[in-house]
Amino acid sequence: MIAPRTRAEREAASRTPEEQREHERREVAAHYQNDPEIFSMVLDSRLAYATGIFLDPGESLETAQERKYDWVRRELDIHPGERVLDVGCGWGSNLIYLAEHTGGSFQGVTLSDKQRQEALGRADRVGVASRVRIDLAHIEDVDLEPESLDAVLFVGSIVHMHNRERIHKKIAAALRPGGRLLISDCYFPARARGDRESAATQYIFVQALGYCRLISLAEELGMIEQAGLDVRRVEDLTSSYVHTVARWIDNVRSNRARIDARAPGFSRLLQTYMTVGRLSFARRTALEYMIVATKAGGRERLGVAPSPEPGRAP
Amino acid sequence: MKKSEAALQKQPQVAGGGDPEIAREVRTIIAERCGMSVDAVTPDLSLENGLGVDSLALIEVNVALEERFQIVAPDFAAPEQAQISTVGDVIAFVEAQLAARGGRGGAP
Ligand SMILES: C[S@@+](CC[C@H](N)C(=O)[O-])C[C@H]1O[C@@H](n2cnc3c(N)ncnc32)[C@H](O)[C@@H]1O
Repeated sequence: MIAPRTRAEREAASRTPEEQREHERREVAAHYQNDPEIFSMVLDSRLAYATGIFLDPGESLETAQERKYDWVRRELDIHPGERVLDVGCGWGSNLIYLAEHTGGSFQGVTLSDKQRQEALGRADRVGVASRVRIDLAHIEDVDLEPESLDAVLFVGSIVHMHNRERIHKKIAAALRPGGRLLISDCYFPARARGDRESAATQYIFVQALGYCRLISLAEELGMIEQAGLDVRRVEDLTSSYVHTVARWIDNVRSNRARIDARAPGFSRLLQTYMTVGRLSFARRTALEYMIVATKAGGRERLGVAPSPEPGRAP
Repeated sequence: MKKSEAALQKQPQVAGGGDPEIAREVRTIIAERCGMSVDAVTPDLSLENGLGVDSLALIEVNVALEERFQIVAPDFAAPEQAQISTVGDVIAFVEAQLAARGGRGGAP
């Protein structure tokens, strides 16, 4: 058991798992049920609602997100015919990129029907619809056959899930020997920095996004290991998130009137919660990590991914 | 530069007679977000300690000012980045932005 760190977590701990699932289904979905057109004014062209990977602060959001998609592709190493589950697939950013660039077959899960429709439309337009299926469901309600999946990803989604231990066990059981798990999300430093009970924290975790549970990296890794997987690598993407969110905020600014025409007051909510997030990452009171783990067996994978040359002042 | 120095350098701009209507509007926005009366929001008040609010309220002030005046403001909640530490600094900043653009911004 991980001790609750925020009011929202204490409330979650007092609910039964079923009640909490229902709570997440309702409260988390609300944010993602906003008009996808709004998010297309703020995010990159594939609508990634998660950090990109910047090598240089001058790069465009599009470049940084493209680098992330490709990084995910290489880590997951999807062979033709392999089965991939994208938990919390959003509007299909990673899922459709992977469908276009690999021969895998894909199942996405989201809590938002608007996201599902948008993702299916996009999959159709790029000609991968036959290998893409998207379910409107809470991941805890999705039946997964034992050892049926080759790769599972959670990009910006596991933070919305309270019952982590249960989810890790379920995913680990559903992976085949040699299967890969990739998580990219937000964590609290193990030793508290900043006020986790502040109005700003409550605003971002509850008011804006419905329900978020930040644990520490070590706690997440511990649950992955306890579920039987082996951690392959961990990358700190906190600084990249500072730049990603800064681009989003600039896009909110330049589309304020158009956003509010579709949803009055929504530009204010976006800019406010994103600014809280950007300051938290900049001060490192919250951290962003990408985690890759594997299930023993299957193909051997040698080597390490090369780290890019650090940028140097001219 | 220390915050107090930045504030000192900014003060003459405020005292030097900005648009009283803008000053009033900025103070009103701060007052609303921070749950204070407009009269209590005086130019010498420190954002960090004087308003008695956490960083969320300051971020809300930022966003509300950007919305109202159609400007881009630095984070008042991150004083190490912004050389804006008092209410007067905020007023001077908004006035300078509007002057640079040569107008008062859109309708409220
Ligand atoms: C921040 S978005 C990330 C979307 C996408 N992975 C991306 O990177 O663009 C979070 C997504 O997680 C989904 N989600 C959150 N909790 C979920 C749950 N318990 N079961 C299924 N999906 C969930 C939301 O519906 C949303 O699509």
